[in-house]
Amino acid sequence: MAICELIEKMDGKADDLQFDLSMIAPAGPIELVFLARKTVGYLYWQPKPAASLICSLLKATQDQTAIAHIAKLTFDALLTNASSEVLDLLCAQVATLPEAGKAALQHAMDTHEAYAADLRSTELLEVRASLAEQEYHTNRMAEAMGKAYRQAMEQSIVSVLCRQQVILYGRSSAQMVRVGDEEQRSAMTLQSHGHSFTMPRMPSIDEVGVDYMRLVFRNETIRE
Amino acid sequence: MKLIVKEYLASLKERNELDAILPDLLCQMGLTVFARPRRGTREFGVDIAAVGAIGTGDRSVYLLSVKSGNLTRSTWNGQSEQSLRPSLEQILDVYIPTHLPAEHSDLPVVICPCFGGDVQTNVRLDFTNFCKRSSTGKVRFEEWHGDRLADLVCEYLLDDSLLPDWGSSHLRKALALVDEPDAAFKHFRNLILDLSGQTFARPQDRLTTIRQISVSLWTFYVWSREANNLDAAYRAVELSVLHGWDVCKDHVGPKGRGEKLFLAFVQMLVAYSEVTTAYAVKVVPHMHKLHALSAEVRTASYPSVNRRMFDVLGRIAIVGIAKLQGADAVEDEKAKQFAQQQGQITAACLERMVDANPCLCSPICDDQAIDIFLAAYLQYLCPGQHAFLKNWLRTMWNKCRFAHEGHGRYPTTYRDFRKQEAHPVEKTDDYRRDATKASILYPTLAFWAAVLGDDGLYGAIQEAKQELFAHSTFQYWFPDELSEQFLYSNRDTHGIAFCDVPIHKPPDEYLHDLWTECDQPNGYNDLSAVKHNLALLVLIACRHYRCPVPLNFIKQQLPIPDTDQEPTSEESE
Repeated sequence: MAICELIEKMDGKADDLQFDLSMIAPAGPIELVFLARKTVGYLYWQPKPAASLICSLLKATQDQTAIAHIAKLTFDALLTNASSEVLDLLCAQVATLPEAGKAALQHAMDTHEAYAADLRSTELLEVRASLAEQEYHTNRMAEAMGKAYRQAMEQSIVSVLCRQQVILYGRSSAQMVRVGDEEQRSAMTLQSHGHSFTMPRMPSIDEVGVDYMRLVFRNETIRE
Repeated sequence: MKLIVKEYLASLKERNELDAILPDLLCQMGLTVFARPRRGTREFGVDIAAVGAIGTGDRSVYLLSVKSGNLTRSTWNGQSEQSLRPSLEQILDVYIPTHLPAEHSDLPVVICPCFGGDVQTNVRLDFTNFCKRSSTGKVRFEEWHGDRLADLVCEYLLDDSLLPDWGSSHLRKALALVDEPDAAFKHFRNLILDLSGQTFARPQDRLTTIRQISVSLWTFYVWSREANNLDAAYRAVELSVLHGWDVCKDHVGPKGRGEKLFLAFVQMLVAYSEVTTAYAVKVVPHMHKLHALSAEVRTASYPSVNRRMFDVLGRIAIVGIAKLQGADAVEDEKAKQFAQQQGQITAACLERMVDANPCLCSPICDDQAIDIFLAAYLQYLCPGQHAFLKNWLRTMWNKCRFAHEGHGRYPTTYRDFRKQEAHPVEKTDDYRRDATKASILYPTLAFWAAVLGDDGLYGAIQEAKQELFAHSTFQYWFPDELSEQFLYSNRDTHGIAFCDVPIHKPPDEYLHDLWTECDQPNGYNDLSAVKHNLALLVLIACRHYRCPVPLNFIKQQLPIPDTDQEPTSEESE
């Protein structure tokens, strides 16, 4: 859990993580698969660091079974959940892998491409959520986001240092500022700030299954 | 209203749609139909033939050649043998000289080219000239285009008008909102409830109502098809057949008005088959694609996705069951085999759907036991699917137990979406006890485990009942003496809850107790649908009104376990 929190606090700077396999001796095929599953179990919600760590495992073995198993995890645990983030990273890493690992990872990426094509080609109004359900869910999410925003504002240093003004109209603000004995007009153009994140897909598709998989991966041990 | 009818007629296909309503229309106009559309036999251009007088006209023979939609250059005289002109030539050259019944040979003949739409301008001249040229003293032509047909439907098919004013209002609202299935279905439901809830002063009023429901249903279906969304149409056809049966069940018979009523209801079953098959044809091609259906729900709300997937599962399961039950009723060996294959393919598709949409292993609502039961029943009817069924039930149980113990998204008795969305509100034992205070889901899983001989799964549920669900009333539902009155209309509650199902007993005794309950008097066997060999209606009612499926369906498939036999000496000890 400490690793998860640490990676979360690094806020995107931990995307290029690698296992130091010299610390784990001997790291045979079974141990590598075990490590890959632990990685998914603990870092499921941080898909880029997880994908990066898994790629480092693919560099460490020639065992076909282990490679196939590890590469499969990249598809049906990571790519299905956070396609765009993971795919960019895998594309960058695939060239650095040895031949066997490269082929397996490429296969996983091809499988993902077919998967994405299937999703795109499915157009079925009959199964869409009703408007009432969509509206209720959106409102509930908006309320939760609003609550989180208010909490963040209360804890923010900015709210202590600055006075808050709410601009209702326009794209810039102007006011009179006293400089010495004179009042001067000061105008300021508003800047927009934003933060984007990828919504993981799997919680809406198989919430219980994801929890179940994570629990199994976290708690399993290597049989003697 | 005429505009709606015209639009509806224009959208009908030739086979089984436009040519299905025309014989009824002719009968209602006072004609005697002596040739109906048949598939596979050569008709020499004639789809429907009738004799009689329309209005104040002379008694004549009417020969109808039916085409769908507008009359275009290609449907008038294209490459296809089904084009109108070759059909009319066959009528003139072959049918009239050789096939006209002898008793009608002296009567004037009226050839009626029938099409749901209009004659396009570029063929108008050809068409009119052909009719003029081919008319003789005995033979003349009458053009029955969409406008004329709409007039005839409004004038004759349903006595005075298609629907009462309040009915037209409901139907118009339903059609206007066809893009929003929930709202459209709400208005259609109001229409059906009002139509079937009327007082029927005269016997023929029931027939009129059945036809009103039928025409409204077809109109709604055709508009839904145009809007490319059959969700509401599926629900509408279920509701229509259930209320249709409720209206006619006590008045159908082998002769006279009773027979007419039954035949009108059979047309509704044809509509049911058409709509549900069309729904399946749209959904099935996507069932094997990993996560495709789940993702297509297009929401980040897991309860929405979960509910929709179980809903689709139940709908497709009934389609498969209907195919297999239909196969039993067919005498022709080839047709029987074909229907059986269709049922088995549907069962295999459901297996793929479960594999591709993993939320189908994690029910969130106790009443999803109904959809699970239907899917399990279909799998059970296909022996090759038993291994999958066992595996699915075990996985489902493991996931339910995992979610329950971890205070996750475990199944609850809450049916309201808002409660399901917020669940679990608290991760406390008190909340969990409240959310799981009763269940039909776990008794259903235990039932299937017992039927399939999966002692491991049965034992696990038995153990969990003591450890985790001691507070929960495990129960099952059976029809009672009021079920016949309310099962099809759902106007009031009915049936009996068999509480504290004996899961503490071994599987065979558990089944024995349930089978005994199945045989209680005034229950399932006394339902009119069962007596008329229409047990599918019971399944439809259970799915539509969210009512557990009577276990009699399985009991009929099984040798009853004999638990009354003397215990062996080993057991006695």
